[in-house]
Amino acid sequence: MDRERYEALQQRAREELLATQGPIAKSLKGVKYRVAIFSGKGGVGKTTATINLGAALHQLGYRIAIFDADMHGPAVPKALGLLGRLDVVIPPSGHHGGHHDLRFSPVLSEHGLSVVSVGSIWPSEETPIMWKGAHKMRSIRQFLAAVNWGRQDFLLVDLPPGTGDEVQTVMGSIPNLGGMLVITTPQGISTMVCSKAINAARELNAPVLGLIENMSVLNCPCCGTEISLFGRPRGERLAGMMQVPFWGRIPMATEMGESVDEGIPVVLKHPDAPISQAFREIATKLLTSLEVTGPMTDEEAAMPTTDEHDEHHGHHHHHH
Amino acid sequence: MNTMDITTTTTDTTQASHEELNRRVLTMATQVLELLRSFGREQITANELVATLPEIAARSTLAQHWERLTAEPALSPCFEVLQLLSSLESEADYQMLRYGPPSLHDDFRELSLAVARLRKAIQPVA
Repeated sequence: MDRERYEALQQRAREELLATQGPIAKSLKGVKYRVAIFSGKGGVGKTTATINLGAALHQLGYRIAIFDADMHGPAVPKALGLLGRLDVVIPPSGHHGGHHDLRFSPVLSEHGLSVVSVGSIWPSEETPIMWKGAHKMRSIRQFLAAVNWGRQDFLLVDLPPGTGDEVQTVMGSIPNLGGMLVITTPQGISTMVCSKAINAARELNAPVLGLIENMSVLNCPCCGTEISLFGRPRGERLAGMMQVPFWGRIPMATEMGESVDEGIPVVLKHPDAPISQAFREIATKLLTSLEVTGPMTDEEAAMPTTDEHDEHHGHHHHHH
Repeated sequence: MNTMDITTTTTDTTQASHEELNRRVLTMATQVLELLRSFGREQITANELVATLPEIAARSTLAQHWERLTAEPALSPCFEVLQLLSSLESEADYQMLRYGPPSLHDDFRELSLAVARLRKAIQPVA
């Protein structure tokens, strides 16, 4: 075997070892299903879809963690009314020999969702994150590996828009990624960009579980007439064209605006609204798609996630 | 001692504490820049670089001072450098596997710029 081929094989072996046994794999050991939510462009409602899908699953008894991977526009904390900062966890045994370990615990929302967002690092939401290039990629991976995720049924990853380095880093760094959920809106430009995103996912060997059309129509609150504010719905046609399951339409709703402002998922604040029903149907489709048999039991949830030592998995609560 | 004196004393103590941390991180950053320079000149191997970075203990320092670094705007330049160093300590190996050793050139440049900002934040020693 020549040297080049040998080094290439060695490199591949190291990559696979890192993927299956590295810090991120260990950190996510207790997480059963990992799903990323993405789109080709911004402004399609990925974050609201992520948190409402998470809330709908939580209502069914599932333990949910959300990783807000959008470093430049981290919106999950605001959308859930989380005001607190992400703090370093001090292990119960203290720091060993003066060495301090960089570990975080997710912030637990009032509604039972465990959240990690770089937006929770800084005291002010006006502070921009000026990381770029490889530094940004390393930081995403560092975050993923440094969190005490504990035992979760689902990790929902709210990806930044597009198919650039950050998206590829997350998709390539999460072992056993269950799949991607694609969000589009009715406009032609969104569906066009979304098709690129679906192709990118396929190139990266990430299964596309389903496609959702968000902000599909507005039902007039007075007479119920359906109004296509963003043009006639094209999501279902896109799904057919790309051979991806179409998981339905989420209508626009006046309830959504106030829910976001108050930091309460709409499925909790307005459970009977059509928009909430739509999210619950999508949650059901996700469970079916991944062949999920049910939430983990309390006994399973209480089991430690590491073999080496007992890590205290703590949450700190934030109330607004 | 009146209230003004107490406030001034507290401010002086805080500034001295910031100064100490800033200088400590500056030293760490200088060491990493030297390591990256040596790596770029092929004076050390990738394995040697990856093995030496943890000895600088950037990650541990970041964890130790996390609360201050993320709460005090005056420490922003320090936090920026330390976070960069910490991410290198954690992920330089993966980065080189994935993107190749030349990908560290940009990090050298970015760290140099961050260090320049940190130097500006450090007050001259009286």
